Amino acid sequence: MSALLELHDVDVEIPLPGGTLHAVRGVSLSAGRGQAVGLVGESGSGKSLTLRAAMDLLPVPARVTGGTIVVDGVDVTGMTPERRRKHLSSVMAMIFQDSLTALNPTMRIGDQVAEVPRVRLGMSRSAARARALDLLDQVGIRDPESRYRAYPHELSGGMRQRVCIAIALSADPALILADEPTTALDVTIQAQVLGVLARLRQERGVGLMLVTHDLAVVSGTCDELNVMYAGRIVEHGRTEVLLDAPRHPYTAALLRSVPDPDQPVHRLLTIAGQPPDLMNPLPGCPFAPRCPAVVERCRTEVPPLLDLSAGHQSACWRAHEPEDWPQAISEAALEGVLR
Amino acid sequence: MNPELTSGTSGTSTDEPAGGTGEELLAVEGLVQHYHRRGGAWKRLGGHGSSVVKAVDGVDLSVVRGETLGLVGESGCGKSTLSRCAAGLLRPTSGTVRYAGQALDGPPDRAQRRLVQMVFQDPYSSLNPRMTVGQTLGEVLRYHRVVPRPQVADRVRELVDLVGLPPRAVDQLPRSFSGGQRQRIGIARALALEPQVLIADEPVSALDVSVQANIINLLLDLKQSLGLSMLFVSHNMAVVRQISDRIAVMHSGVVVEEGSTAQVFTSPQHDYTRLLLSSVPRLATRRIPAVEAATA
Amino acid sequence: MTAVVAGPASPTGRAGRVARASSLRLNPTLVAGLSLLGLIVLVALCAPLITHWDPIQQDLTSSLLPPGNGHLLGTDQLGRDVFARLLYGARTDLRVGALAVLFPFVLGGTLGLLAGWFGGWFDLVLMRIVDIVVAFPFFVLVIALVFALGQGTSSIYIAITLVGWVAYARIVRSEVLVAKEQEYAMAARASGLPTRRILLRHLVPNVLLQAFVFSMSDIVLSILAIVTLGYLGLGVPPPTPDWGSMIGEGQAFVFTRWYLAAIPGFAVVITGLSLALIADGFVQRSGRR
Repeated sequence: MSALLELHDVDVEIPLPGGTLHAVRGVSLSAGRGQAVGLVGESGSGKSLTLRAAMDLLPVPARVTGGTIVVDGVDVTGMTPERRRKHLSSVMAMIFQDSLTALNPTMRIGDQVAEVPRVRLGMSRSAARARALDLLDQVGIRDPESRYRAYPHELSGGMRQRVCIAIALSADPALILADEPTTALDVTIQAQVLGVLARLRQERGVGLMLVTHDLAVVSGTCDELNVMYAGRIVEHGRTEVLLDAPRHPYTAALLRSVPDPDQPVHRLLTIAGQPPDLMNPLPGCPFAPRCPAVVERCRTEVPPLLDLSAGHQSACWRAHEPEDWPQAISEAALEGVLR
Repeated sequence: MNPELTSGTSGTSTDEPAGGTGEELLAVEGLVQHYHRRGGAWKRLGGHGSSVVKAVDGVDLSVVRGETLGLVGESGCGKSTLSRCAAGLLRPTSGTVRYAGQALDGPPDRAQRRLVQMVFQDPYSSLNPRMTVGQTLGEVLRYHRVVPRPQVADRVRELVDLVGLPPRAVDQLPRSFSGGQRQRIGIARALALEPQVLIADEPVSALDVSVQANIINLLLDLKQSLGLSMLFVSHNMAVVRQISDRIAVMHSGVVVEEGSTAQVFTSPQHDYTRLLLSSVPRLATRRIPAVEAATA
Repeated sequence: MTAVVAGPASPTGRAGRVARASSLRLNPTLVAGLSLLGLIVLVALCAPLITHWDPIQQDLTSSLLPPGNGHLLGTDQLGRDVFARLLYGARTDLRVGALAVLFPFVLGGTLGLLAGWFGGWFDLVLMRIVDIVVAFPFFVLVIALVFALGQGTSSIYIAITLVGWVAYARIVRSEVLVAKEQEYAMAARASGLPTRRILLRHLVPNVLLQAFVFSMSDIVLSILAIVTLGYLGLGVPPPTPDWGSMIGEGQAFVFTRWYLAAIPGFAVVITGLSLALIADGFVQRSGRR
């Protein structure tokens, strides 16, 4: 599987009045053709910014200050913005959390879906309209002819998100980047939208890079997971492996702190403390101040992603010895959450 | 090593089979809340006039002593409106709200306010940004004369400690705190009046996963140590299951199913409940299952 | 049974550190504005110490002298020292400007607060009155009122208050509409606190910012309003010096003694700038939250 998107050691910084915020630090990841890769973390982990850096949509004043971004074999890091944008949009497309603000409120949704085919692919008006109708149908909007002339505010949240997916598909991308696409949706609608994305993967081989804080969503949708904390990737691997045998204390704790609708527990696992200050990052592992399995080395040396087995990596000095971790997370690491 | 990582024995369920028996502390009966929407000029000329939004369309619920009733539903089902009516913040269009068996007539009076208190959803707007924690808690204690004036400061310290915050939090403004900590302050404020029933309206929805666990554990602890009864409103099924003894499922302004937590989750009767349960993404399995999994 | 519940984090984490750094909450803009205004106020207060000339003493033999010979800025058409009139004029303009804004602020703000909180008939009626007043050009109403009340500073205050309160009412009302839906306002109601307390202690401190910012620019507008009134002989009664009438009188000599109008104009600009900086500084202060 050839890699469509590769990030190598990417840094994103945000200059602020009080200093520089190191939001993303040394992140490397990749997404191959037809793959579904998840980027999961809590707020402040840098997952959204990583995605936006890949799509060259970082909000001012954030900037990529290190590393390289390779899209479909082409290194776009040093390109001029104009060329970069052209190349990126021919390979990838992005959908956002808030579908209402992601759509032009004064333009009919059909026209918005037809816009890229008309303007960039040079289709005629009628051909673009036909394509738009086809796309609306593909994302599961029933009776697309009557919806074509609707305005965004006339549609429900789930419908709007489907329209956004249709727009993303209109350029025929090989990879869709999705930034918390279902977070604002009801759970039943969320299931539908995720179903649309899954079906598109199956039928058209469109890859997916999904950013979310919801572990359950990402575990049900993606083949591979990257867990982010404080701007770094702390664990990476196939979903079943991470769920069955997490090898980073943060991942293990996180898995046990998510309540399970099928099985309430007496007490949920909690992680003391707060995420670190990214303006003044401390030396060493970012999770060290809160980690129950911390040792001296953790505080002074940043652990790189260490290989544990094929495709499974963990940025922890003690990744190889989960049996020696404190009981609560040791149990989580050895038992996992898969049933 | 950081000692503060804790968990319990997994698999022990908090589901209790009993339901609905015992002293009724909070109840709503035939609760209806309608909002009138003024139609546009054309609509009115055409005789359509104002349309009515039936946020709550006839609901009967009760919370008995010592139990937590979980109220679930998706956005627009009316659960938030219902919780506001139950908290005495919104006057229902019709129907009654009863505190300890006594029907409310208008907004609750001072004594009634001591029975039922509310915790809000957004930790960033539920605290007055210009008042310190001590001032926020003290104001409530003083106005209701929960303790004599000289003891207010001590009581404030006790409350802050009860929700797991350090003593120096008393003199700090909300902006010094994280989301989870602010929610703790909100809980402390609600507890200041020593209520019998706590209405929690999506108290953890705005928080990160690891912080949610903290607050859920806190509420479970308080439930046990203070004998608190709760009306827990949320759209998150997993969280609701973790904390509730009984569940009521709302959809389009009515309760479509009600029962003990175990019953509702393992053998849902209503189609909507089934749909809801099957749509919830689960961590442990790779597919979204069509049928709900059985408990251990 | 499990052991200890996870402890809380230090409440002075990242947020706390940022708060401490700006604990005085004096950002450069605010400092600049306050300093500049402070300087103007100081100069106004110390006018007798800075110049020995009497601003209202006429000397028709020395009319329209250029700068020099003891007259730093020359004299105006009635032989009065321009520099002295400038300094004493600051007193007049600052005072009138401030008072002409304070009364509308209090009146409009209070009405807006009540209308926003209680709604209903009061709100409906009040907003229609606002609509009516706003429909008239500001100056038309003010001039009519001053004319009816007779010339004099108190007439100016009354007239501007009766016309200017509407802007404050609107601003405060819309802020209140937002604030009362904030959860802390609901929490205060849920705690059973009396309405008066909620309004004064919870809402007011949080809704005043916008009105305050507006009032800063309104002061400048008031000063200019007095200029206009001065043209029509309805302003501050002579011979009290004020920048507005200086500009008005000076315009007749703009080709020969351009500074007679320009210098007081410049003074108005500087004052306006200082007020704008203060307003901006406050906005920055609250925005950082």
